[in-house]
Amino acid sequence: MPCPSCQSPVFDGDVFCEACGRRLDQSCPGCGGTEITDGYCAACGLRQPAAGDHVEIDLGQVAAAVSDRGLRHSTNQDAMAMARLNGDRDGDGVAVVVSDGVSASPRPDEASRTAVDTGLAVLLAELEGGVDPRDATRTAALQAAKAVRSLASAPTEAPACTYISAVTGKINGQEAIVVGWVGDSRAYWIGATGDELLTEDDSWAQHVVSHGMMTEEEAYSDRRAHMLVGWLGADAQDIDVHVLVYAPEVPGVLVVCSDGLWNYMASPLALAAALADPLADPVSGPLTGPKGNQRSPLSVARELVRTALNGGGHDNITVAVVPISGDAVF
Amino acid sequence: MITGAFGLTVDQNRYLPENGREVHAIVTVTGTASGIAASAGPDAAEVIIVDNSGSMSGDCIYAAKRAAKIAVDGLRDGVAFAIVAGHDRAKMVYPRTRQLVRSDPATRREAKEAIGKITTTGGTAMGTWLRLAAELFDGRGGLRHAILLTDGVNQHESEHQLGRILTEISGGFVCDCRGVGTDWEVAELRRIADALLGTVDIIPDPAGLAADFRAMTEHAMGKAVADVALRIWTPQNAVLRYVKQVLPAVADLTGKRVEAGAQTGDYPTGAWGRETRDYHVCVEVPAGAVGREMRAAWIKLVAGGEVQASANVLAEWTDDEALSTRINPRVAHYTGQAELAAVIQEGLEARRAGDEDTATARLGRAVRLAGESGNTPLSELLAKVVEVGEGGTVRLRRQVDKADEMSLDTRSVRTVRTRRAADDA
Repeated sequence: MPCPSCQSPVFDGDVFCEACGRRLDQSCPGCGGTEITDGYCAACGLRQPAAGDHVEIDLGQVAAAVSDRGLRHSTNQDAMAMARLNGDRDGDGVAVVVSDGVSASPRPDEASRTAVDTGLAVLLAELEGGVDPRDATRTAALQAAKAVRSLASAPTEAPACTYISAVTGKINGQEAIVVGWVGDSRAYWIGATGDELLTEDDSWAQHVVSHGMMTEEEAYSDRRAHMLVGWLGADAQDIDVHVLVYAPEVPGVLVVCSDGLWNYMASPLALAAALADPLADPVSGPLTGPKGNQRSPLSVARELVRTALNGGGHDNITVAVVPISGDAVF
Repeated sequence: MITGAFGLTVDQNRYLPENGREVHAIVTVTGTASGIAASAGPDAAEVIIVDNSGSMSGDCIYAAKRAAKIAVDGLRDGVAFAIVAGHDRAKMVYPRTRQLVRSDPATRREAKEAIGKITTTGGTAMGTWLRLAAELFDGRGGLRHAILLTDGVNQHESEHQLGRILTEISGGFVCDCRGVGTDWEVAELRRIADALLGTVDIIPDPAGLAADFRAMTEHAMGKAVADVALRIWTPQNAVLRYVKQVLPAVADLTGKRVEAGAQTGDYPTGAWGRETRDYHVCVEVPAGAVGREMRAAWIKLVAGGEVQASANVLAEWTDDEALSTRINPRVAHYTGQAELAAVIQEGLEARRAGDEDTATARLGRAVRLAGESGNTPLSELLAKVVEVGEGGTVRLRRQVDKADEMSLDTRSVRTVRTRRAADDA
């Protein structure tokens, strides 16, 4: 059975096409009607979710990611890509790339798609070749930047996007997370003993705060707060890729997301609260569900997206959830 | 098979505020030159109905006969036609039997001879005339057009009888109605023309009949595609509030709905040539949450049992007031044109009833609407019925020519395009 959108093979029981993300349960989310014509429900007229409106990547207990159009944008200009790292490497890890297309630029969805596809492909090839994850991260980001730059038909017609990648696994036998980014998509660590924001936004607010020009409160109440000072695109000055290594010592969760998510839970504490199951015992790890069972990364990612949607869903929402066992015995 | 003969576009503001329910759209249908030419000349049939009641005697019947002969001359070879004379009954003038004959030089000559022998007699029962025409067209496809010419009121039939006949024969043919002189009733002919998807006009001076008949037959024979309908789907729990033709004239099609499947109805638009018509569609949908998008109507143009073109009317709820409060200029324009027709008719009605205050208020509003929208023909007709003083104050004229009043009434439904569209053209 082929996917009605992209003709890739799909199987009975699949809810989404693995290739393009189109919903496969052909019943209207509005009224349950089953006849869909030209993308609209033949009974209630509701516009049906398009490919990309809601996309999920499920790597079982290893990791998951969800991207959603949100409630105010007519298309999903975020993109994401994720792969499991296997083979010679010491232990299983994942590589994930998230990109947020800049709405004010032309063809932002093309920019973000190109960035994540190029980024992940380069990242995997470099890691496979035995390159240090920090160097692989930097190379992948620069290659993604180059690919996005080449989309521009003219310097004033430059598709643009943010970029963030994360690689988990071991470096020299040590559990490590390597994050690389340009722009304001973020990575958080939500650990059993503490939570922190790993990245620092390439945003106007972050820029003036870190240069001591304004307090955080002043900066974030300014209308320029979210203006990007770093991005991928032909109109970007120098591409300054930030690379960071974090060594988790306790079990926890790596969260990589676009601002459509973190706008509703910006502080690590707020994200941790949104992520935790209120009925669970918090000491046994962020993914613990009620009665002590483990929740799947996919269900947690969906829950976070739902929280952002309930908050207003003003932007496209993308989040990846990667549980880390941590080296220390907890 | 008709292909590429029609274009259909939708103009609207699809954004609704939270809790907004009413969706408006202007649907423009164009019979494209190339497509219409390619689907050339279907079977065509023409019935000319001439009032020969007693009141027509004198100049009137003389002019009517001359006009009917000119109309016959305008029939191209191959068109099936007949001439009917109407008084309190309907009588075949040509051919003598109840059927249509093929137009050729010989039959046209015979028809004109027969027309020359029409004499006046009896009263007026238009329903019976139309019923005879319907019988003549019965079982035919293609273009079916009739011209009804009268000078008086429908004395020998009750309103109810006429209504029943119109219901019975609607869809059978298109009928253009012409009133000669000033003793006929605008509302009555408008009722017939509306039911039969035709036009109505006044010919104050019998001498003008010939030119008008020539134009009307040419126009009717210029049609290439008969029985065209707008097929409109609406969502469950939505209400199709109205479907109105708004260009070239206001005509409410809402009541003409014929069910055409689930949540779908057909609205007949008659025969088409190379022309453009605009329709105002209003749908009330269940209120949706901000961010929700839906198809509020799916509009198709059907002819010959096939869908010729289609387009969506959309609804999207937003909390951005800049979007939801934006009024589509064409929706606004045609809403104004429909109001213009209504206030002219109401104003004239009040004037006839002696209610000068209402008449002044309505016609004053009409003067403003016609001026603002650039409907110059109606502004000119209004100026013959009311005086516009300084500062836009309006006074009813004491002396109004009956023909001018009837012209204003008859032509009140005629609209103009939005100014910008007119400038573009």
